[in-house]
Amino acid sequence: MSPPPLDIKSVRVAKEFKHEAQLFRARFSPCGKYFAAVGVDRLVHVWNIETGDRKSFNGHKSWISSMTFGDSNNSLYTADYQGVIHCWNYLAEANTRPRWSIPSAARDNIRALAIAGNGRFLLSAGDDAVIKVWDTKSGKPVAQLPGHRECVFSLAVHPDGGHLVSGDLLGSIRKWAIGKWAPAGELDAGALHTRKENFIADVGGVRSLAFSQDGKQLAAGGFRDAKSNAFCPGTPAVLVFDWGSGKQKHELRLKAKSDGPINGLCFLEDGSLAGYGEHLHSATEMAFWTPPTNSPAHALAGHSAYDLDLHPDGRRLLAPVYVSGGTSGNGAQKRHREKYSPNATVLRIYNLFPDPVEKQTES
Amino acid sequence: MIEDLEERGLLDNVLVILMSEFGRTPNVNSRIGRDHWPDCWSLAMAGCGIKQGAVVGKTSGDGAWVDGTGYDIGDLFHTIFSVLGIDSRRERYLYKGQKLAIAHDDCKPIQEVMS
Repeated sequence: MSPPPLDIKSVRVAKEFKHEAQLFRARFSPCGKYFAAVGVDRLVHVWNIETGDRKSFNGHKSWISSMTFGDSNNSLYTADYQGVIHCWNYLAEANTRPRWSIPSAARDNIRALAIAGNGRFLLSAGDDAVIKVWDTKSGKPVAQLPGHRECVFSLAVHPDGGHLVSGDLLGSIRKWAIGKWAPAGELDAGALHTRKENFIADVGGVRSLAFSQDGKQLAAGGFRDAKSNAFCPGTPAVLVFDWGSGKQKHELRLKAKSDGPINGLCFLEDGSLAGYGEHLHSATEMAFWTPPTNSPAHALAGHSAYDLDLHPDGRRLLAPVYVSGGTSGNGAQKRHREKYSPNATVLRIYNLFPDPVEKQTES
Repeated sequence: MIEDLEERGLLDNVLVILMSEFGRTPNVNSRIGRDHWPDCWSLAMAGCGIKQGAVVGKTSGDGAWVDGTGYDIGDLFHTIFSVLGIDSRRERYLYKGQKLAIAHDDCKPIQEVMS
């Protein structure tokens, strides 16, 4: 049966899964029947989309900052703020131990994981600024790719499998040849970095990267023109590059007022690009662009989300959306004196096609 | 720095305080940062007059509230002046002609941290 036609203007929440802790990453499994999400509670959670059943795997000792599904063997890879990587069988019983672990994969936070080489290699990158390559079957080291000067936030693998890109805090996007494990050039996303004279830290960075499905474009998400290095409010932006020439072609913006980066970029099969904003204490939006138009063709308001993933069927998106417990801001409010209400997450699956029931009603 | 002071024989005459003016929210906010939380936080001290290894007070399990005896900044100021040999109950400072206490009159030194 062929999938329903893709229509970004029909985007709507199809399913919600509430979770009591804040989660930063959420991804669909390659088989499409499950999704996993990770964050501050140090557990790897896997949900069955159809039944809503959830199981969890325990092994990390700190917040989990990145994850990726493997290409085969029911593998799921997770990494944390202490530089530990675990490989899991996501179809195993809850609390099954990892298949293998790398206790010191990095000195500290691993912010991005990706799979390359037709599933043979796991790539990791983070605060120590070195891309590392690991064998997915054993976790043994394969190569290291030094070159970035500051922490790496994002990784993406070209659809033809020949190159990968990595984006860092300073707005540098490095190209690497897969297999040779050698540098292959650089793209300038410096607009996504701010360091004014009175700043004591760099602000911004390339927070998300995505290749178009035909491999001709690379999108880099983040925020520009940060006003301070304290709360770091800036202007969310996506830079779109022509892969062949390396030149920036477009700069895309959100419609809604928002001050943080654009996360979780995904190109859809019709060439449109989806991304999700972050905003301090207020709503932002999930946006869909059709470059060269720099404002969204369509947007859906919602609170901040730190990731966005496209289902293997190309018709659904998944986002871990922030839910406020009401205790952010300047100290405890009166109503919270008896109990501290923690912040939480709602994992939302969005359909990118018209509701068949609505369509029947319209006709 | 603390090791340097100790190696130079200076630590007994120097009070080192690591603190901020308020705590941070137990949970991160929507920008994955922490907001102000003056309801509960902790600090560390070393050197002059401080008992090594003393751990005084605790928070609730979620880090949001003081569990048991809490201490005010007035108690901290009395402690600081006491270990430095300054009588915090006698000394006053002049502000526009008015004599004001250098530490809150209704607070007292935290004896458990003093050697």
